[in-house]
Amino acid sequence: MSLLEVNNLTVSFGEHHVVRNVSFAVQPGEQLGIIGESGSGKSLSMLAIMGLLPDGATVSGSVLFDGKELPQHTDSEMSKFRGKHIGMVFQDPLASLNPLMTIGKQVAQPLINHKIASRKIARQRATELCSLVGLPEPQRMVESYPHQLSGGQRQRVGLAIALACSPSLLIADEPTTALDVTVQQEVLQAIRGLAAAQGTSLIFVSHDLPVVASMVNRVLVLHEGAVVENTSKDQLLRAPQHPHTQRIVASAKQSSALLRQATQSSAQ
Amino acid sequence: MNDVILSAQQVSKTFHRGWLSTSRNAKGIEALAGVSLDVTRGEHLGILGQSGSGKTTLARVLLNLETPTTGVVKFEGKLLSKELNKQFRRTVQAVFQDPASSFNPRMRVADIIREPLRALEIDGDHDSRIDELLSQVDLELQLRDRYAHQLSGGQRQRVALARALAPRPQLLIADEPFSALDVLTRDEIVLLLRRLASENNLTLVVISHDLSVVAQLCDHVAVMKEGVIVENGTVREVFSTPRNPFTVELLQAVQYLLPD
Repeated sequence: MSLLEVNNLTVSFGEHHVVRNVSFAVQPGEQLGIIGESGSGKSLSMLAIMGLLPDGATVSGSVLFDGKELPQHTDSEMSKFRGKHIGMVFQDPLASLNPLMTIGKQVAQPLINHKIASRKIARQRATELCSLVGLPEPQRMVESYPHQLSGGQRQRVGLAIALACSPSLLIADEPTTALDVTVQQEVLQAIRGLAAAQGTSLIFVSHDLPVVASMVNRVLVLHEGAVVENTSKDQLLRAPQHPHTQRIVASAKQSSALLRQATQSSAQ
Repeated sequence: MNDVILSAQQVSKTFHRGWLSTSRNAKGIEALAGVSLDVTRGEHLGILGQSGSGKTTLARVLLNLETPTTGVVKFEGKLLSKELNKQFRRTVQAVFQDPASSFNPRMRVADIIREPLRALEIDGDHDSRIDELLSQVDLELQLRDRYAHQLSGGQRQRVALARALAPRPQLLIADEPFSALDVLTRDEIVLLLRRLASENNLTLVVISHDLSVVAQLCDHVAVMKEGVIVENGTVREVFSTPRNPFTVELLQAVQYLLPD
C-alpha cells in the first residue's frame, strides 16, 4: 500500500484552477521529486496535502495517507496529524520560525503538542535533534534565537522541527533556494542523510532539475497546474516525453555541459 | 589606459545602522573593504559571490548610486562630478534583479522606456526609438500601453533592458538580472543579453551568484568574498585552475551537474 496517495487533487481560487487533477503516490521509503516553474502549482499541491491552503481556496479530490483519507477540511483534526506523520520544511526558514522563541523551544514544540514527550524530555530531545541535523554546539544553539543564526543553520532548525516526531513522510518545498551554493550542498546532504537513516519517505519540491536529480529516484513534472510527466529520474534525463520537460532537461544539460567544460578546459 | 571605462580604486564602503549612524563609536558594516577593479572596454566581466559578499554594493558604487567611504571610482580616467553626470549616465546603464520594483507602477511601458531619453536629453524621435528598442528586445509593439504589473517576469526584464539601452550606453551593469526568473525564461534572457551585447558593442558587468550564468555570458570574472576580490582573471583560468580556496569551494559546490 502506498504511504501517500493523491487522487485528482484540484485547487481553485474562484474560477481559476491552479492545481488541476493531480494524482500521484509515494511508497514507503521512496524519494519523489516534484519539478515545476513558479506558478506551476507545486507549492499549492503540497499545502493542500498539509491542509494549509490560504482562505478562499477550494479543494477537491482525495488524499489518502496510510490508506486513510485525510480530513483536510477540519482544522483541529488536521493539526493533530500535521507534523506528527508528515513533516514539512519550507523555503524561507526565517518566515516559518518564531523570532521571539528560542530554537530549543521551537524544536521541542511538536513533541509537546503531539503529546509524544513531556516538556522536560522534549527539551532534551531538542538538543539531540539539533546535533542530529548538524548544528554546531547544540547545547548553546537551543538557547539562541533565529536572528542569531545563519541561513543554513536556520534551515537545519527547520529540518529538526520537521523531523522531531519522526514522521513517515518529509515534504521539503524549495528548502535550499534561499541559500548560497556552498551551504545548499550541506543542507541537501543533511536532508538526504537523515531521510535515509530514518527510513522517511521524501517529497522534494524544486524548480532546479539538477538539485532534484541529486536527491530522488522518481520525478513528477508539474506544468500549469497539471502533471505532465511522472517517471523515473533516469528515464526523465534520458528520454523526457512532454515538450515542456524536454526543454527543461535540455536547458539543464546545456548549463551542466558548459560548466563542466569551463571548469575542466585547461586542466587537461 | 584609454580602454578602461570604469575604474574602482581601493574602494571601501561602510554602512551604519540607525539614525545616529554618524556617531563615532558606531562600528557599522564594511560591505566593501578595499576593492580595486578595472572595467575594460569590450569585456564581459562577471562578478561572482555569495549573498553578503558585497557584489551589489560594488555594482552600486560603480553606478555612482553609492559614494565610497574611502577610495574613488574614475570614469574614463576622470573623477565623477556634476558636470560629468549626464555623460556618465548616457554611457553607463543598469538592469536590476527585480525589474518590477525599478518601474513606476503608474507608467506605461512606452513611458518607462521614454524616461531616460527625456531625462538625458537624447536627440531624435523618441517614439520611433521606443518602437525600435521594443523590437530589439523581442517585445510586441502592442505592449507599449501596458503597465508593468500586466507583464510577465520575462517581459519586465525585457522592458528593463530596453530602457537601459535607450540612451545607447557603452557599458551595461546587470545586478542578478536572472535570479528572479524561471529556468527557461532565464535561458531566453541570457541569450537575449548576449545578442544585445554583441549588436550594440556593449561592455558588460554581470553580477551573479550563479556560475553557469557567468560561464555563459562572461569572458572575465572577479570572485568576491567578505567585501574583497579574492580572485580575478579570465573565466577559463579562474574556473579551471582556481587559486583561491574560496573559489575552489564555490566550484566544488556545483557537484549536482547532470550527466551528459
